[in-house]
Amino acid sequence: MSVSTQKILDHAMENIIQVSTPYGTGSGFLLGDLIVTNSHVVGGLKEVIVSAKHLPRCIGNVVYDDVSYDLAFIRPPTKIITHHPLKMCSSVVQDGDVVIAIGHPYGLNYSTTEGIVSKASRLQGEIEYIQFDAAINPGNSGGPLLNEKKEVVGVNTFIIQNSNNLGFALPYFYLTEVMEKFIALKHDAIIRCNSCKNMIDEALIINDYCPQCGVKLDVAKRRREGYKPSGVVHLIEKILDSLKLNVPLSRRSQRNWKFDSEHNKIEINYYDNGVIIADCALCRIPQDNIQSLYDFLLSENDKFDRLQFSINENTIYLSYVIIDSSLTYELGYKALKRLFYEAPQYSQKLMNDFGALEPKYDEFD
Amino acid sequence: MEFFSQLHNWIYPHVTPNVPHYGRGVHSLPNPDEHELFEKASKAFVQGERLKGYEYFLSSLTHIGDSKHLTYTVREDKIIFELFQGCAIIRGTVTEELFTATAVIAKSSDLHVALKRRFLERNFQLTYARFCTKEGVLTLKLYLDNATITPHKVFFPLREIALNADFEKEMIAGDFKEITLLENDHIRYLTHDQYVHLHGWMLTWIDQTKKSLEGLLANDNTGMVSFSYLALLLKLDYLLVPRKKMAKNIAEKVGSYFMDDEKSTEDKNADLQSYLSELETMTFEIFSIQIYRAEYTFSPFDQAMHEDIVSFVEESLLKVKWYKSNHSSYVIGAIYPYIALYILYNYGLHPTLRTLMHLHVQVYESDFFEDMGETRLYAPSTNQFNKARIHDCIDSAIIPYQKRYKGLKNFSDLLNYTDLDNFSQSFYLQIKNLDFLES
Repeated sequence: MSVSTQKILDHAMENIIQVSTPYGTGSGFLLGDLIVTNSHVVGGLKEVIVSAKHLPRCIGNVVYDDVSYDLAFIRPPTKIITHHPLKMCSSVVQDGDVVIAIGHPYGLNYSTTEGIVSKASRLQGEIEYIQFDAAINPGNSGGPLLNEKKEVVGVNTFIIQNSNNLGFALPYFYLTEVMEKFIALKHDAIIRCNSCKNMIDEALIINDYCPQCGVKLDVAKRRREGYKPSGVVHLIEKILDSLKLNVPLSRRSQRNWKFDSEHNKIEINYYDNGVIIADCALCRIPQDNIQSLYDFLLSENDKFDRLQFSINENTIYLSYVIIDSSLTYELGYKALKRLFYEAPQYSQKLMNDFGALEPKYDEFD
Repeated sequence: MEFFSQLHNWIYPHVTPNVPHYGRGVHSLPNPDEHELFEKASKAFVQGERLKGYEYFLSSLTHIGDSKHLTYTVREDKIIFELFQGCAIIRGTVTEELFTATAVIAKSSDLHVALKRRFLERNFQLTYARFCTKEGVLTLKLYLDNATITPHKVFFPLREIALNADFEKEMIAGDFKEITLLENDHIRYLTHDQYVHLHGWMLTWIDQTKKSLEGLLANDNTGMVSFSYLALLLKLDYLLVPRKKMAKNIAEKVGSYFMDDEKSTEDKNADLQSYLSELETMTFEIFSIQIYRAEYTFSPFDQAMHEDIVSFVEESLLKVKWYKSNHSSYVIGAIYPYIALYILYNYGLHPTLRTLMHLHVQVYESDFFEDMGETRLYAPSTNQFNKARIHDCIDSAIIPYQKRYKGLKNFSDLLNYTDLDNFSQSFYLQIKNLDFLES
């Protein structure tokens, strides 16, 4: 990364948002009081999880959903303080302009790539896009494309798969146009019709039809139905809910939940092979007392019916493993309750008694 | 009724299935009513008769014959069982609410730090069982709630604890000889004479392989060298059935050969050659402690689809064709025995296929089997095949299963008995054509 790109990242970083839904994660950026992202990132949901450098994970409301421009606006629950707010581009984007894409592809936070505008106006359907060659990936969606003046020139929207750096961003002028109209409406539940392009108050939509032109609005249906897990996922969430845990906030995907438990994080994964693993990274192996630590873990394992201590890559875990077809509410409740209760205590004990080291987590996780 | 019974016996004459006592896995036949008993267990569990369900389930695991690999006692409120899996004994108790099983490994005070670390790491990988220390003994334990129990939900956990307990005890015996394994007295060591015979055969086979490669330029014959060395290692594993370090080393050497890495085939052949030299110089005492016999309840393999076997045979026969077309017919003699040994080593086989692959090994290793007291199937000096015996062997592989697979037929008349190469070619073509369609 060049020095100038690093400076742009430092300037823009506090405006960059991670957007998560049960269907996946994407990027976004703060513009005024609103978070801008892609419509496909919010997945037709009314509520999504947002987080930023100065914003811990929280639920944001999707107040504007525009399938046509693949745009969405999210209102965060609290005002996000930023020292260098992003500004919209003040000049015309030209072929050959240097651009910088920032986002969270594959969970790699604040990944920044630079490139040039290959074509400032590439028509795709009815919409012009900025084609650029900065490397972007799934997860960059919704993130900003900036110019060297740290201005937003576009919203990173799609790539041509299996190509070499063919990225496309929705130009800033579309964003300016709809954001101004949206703010003027002073209403926080707007769907833009993908046929007549009118901004529709969600409350006026009946049976998911656009009241202006009559087309079926799939996004209205998805927003109305919301995210409804079923089967084992539903059972897992029911158990977590009974444990008074914030389930929506913990969802990282449809089959992955993460919780902060004092100094530890507890993660639950439901794998495709039917195995459900809830585990907590308690601590890392110390340099001394290792053998007595192993003895302790192995002897404690005899005391558990459902939990177990294990080691993976130098980290000590306390886990609960069960096959989906064997999971019942009662079993899962007892085991997870014990895991959430015991994990912080064991973590502390291993650090105090054996000098085990604190576990390491991703700074932005 | 008698008429129908006679008719049935005429159509399906009684033939005792053959059980090869070689190779990895179970050396006895599965319960012929395995599927029915499994179904009965399912029904009993659904009806809430859990102990009855477990009784059916355990009987579905019981093999044919005198093997005491699994015993259980049914009491009013529980079932107590014990099963053998190589050097491991799994003991368990079933009640209406719980299924618990344990396998003791070794005294924890004896364990090297590397083993403690290993078992804690294994805990991260295991799905059902876990290592723990109980009253100073390292134990692998399993704990299941019976609330939603089905036969499948017992089978996989029980197999996991059994296979892993055996594997880990073998690993300790191989790498940490100073550690005394607990509950290990049930394994059967051979007599001194038997060890002498087996050791002698190992040296003979290594010598024969070396001689067969003498005079060949290694760089021009990498394929020949590879097939010869691999077939030899697979033969040693199949016919001697070594355990402990020797089994582990053979698995590592074969695995390493097939690993997709940057090593050239010549380098890989050199590694195999170096290991064969190690085996050649292995003392009789060390050789002897690596071989023992034991009972097994579970096969370490999942049964392969016949299509997978066919695909491997086809691929191998294409190699034979290639060597023929490229005037390297001498390589073919190394490929044919390799095919059967590779299949026996790598796939979980239906008893029919296992018996047939074993037959191929018997033909190629007639001297060995004659030494073991069995009838010779081929005489290299006269190039004569014992056609009648081969026919009977195929019968023992086919007839017991014809009721289920109507398309299975004895193919001994379709085999070419001109010489070993022609026999093999015709044999593998018949293997490809076996019809495992259930009637």
